[in-house]
Amino acid sequence: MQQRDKNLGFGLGLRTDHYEAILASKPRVDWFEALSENYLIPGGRPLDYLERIRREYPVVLHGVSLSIGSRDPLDFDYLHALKSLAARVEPAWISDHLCWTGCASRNLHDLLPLPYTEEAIEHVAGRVRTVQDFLGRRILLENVSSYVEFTRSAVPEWEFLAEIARRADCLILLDVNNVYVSAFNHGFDARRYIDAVPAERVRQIHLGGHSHCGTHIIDTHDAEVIDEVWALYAYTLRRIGPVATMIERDDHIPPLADLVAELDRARDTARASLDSVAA
Amino acid sequence: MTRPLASVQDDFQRYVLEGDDAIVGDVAGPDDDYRRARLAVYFNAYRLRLSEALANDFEGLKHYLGEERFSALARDYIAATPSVYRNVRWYGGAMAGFLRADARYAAEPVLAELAAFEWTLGLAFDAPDATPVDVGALGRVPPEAWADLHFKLHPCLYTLSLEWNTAEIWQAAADRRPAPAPLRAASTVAVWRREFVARYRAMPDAENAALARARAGASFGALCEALERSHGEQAALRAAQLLQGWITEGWVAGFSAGTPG
Repeated sequence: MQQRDKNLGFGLGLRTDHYEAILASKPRVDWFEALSENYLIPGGRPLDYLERIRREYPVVLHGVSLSIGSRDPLDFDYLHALKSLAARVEPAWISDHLCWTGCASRNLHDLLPLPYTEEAIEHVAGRVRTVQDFLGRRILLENVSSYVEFTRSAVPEWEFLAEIARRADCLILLDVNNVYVSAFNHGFDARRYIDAVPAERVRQIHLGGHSHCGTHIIDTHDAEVIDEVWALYAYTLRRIGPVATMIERDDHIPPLADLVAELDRARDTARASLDSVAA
Repeated sequence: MTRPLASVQDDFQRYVLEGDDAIVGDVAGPDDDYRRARLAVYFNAYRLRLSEALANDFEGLKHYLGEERFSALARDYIAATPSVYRNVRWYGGAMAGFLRADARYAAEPVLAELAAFEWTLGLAFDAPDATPVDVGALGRVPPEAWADLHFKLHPCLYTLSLEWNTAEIWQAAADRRPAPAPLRAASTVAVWRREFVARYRAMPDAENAALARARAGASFGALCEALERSHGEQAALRAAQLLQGWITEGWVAGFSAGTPG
């Protein structure tokens, strides 16, 4: 089992509600993931907090609007702004999603699924290379939760992700909850997805909660991570080894201490699953 | 031959924005009911996400209108205003204009004013950083240089002309009190940020005029001259008082003797 460089350990998503508590209590969190767009603003409080927290903790930047799969041209104004933010924050890495968020200059503010076709693979891989050249660093692409698949898809999602990562030579942010959600929504075996992920490219793992609607699951990040996702996380680590892991919570945000406690479960799960591999 | 990515995205987007169902046949699933139910997750999420952003940006408007009317307004605005912003932070920027122009809302002009007021508070909150001048720095300027002093106002400082008791209505929402009835009451307010909090206060006409002059590059001497009409011999004293107030509020980000800048 290889040890990756830059394994930051166990992190949390940086949320406005927790700014003060983080600075006051210096919680046992190894790093924070900041949402890039929240800090792509002219000035004021969020940037001040981010810089103060950055002095205490490693930070990574996580974007939601790169729209790497869109048919629209790449937005270099956005990329310039992102690059400036990165120069200011010095993140350990920068990530965004394997999706599109709108076209024809419209934005749907959602992480929309792509058809898994050769055309889309080539389109996305070329754009990732352009982005990486521009930023001067490799980026991480995250698998999204999806509610539809397209009839035209020629390969399963895991092959789509792996092939783009290979052609673009980019890294992967593996969202284990999203694998679980999409596996349920589309009726595939989540472990099959995990088995196909190119382990050497996975730099970060996301865990999060979701909403079960009976016929499908929606990726809402508004609840604790469920037992089945913890089990899939343990399975993932047994397969790919230790990776920086964080918990995302975007709604019904509990006190910081609750998330720190949930993060301890990630530490325990990781320790147990990696011990079982070593044994 | 696989359908091009571009046309799949066009159709998908038309579905989310307008409910156009050309995309349904491209979605995998046992039947159309299933496909439509899954697509609806995206249709609903778009409206929910934008409604949440609007509720976040226009808390005062929401308080004033009540939950139900605000939800209807959000629906109307979203239907009329597809987002062109990468960052949802800017989505509500056309709200005041929408409320002024749309027949369903234009009869209540206080709504547009309240939206403009709240949006300006948000702009001040996120405005570029700059270090405010402190009173001590101005104290070191030799007396003979004062007439030629020019000021650079802080980028977070906005002024807004109001025709209604909009600030009071907003304040009631902020304090979680019932909103007062709308009343015609012309005023000018300054909106700015200090210690990372957006603030506002009413400005008398003479102060507003002086601030506008300073913003346009007038020297301290010119501010004094302009105040002579209303304040006579006290003009210079009044100008100095105003300037001290502005500096105390953090409205001045720089000054220079001679050329404006």
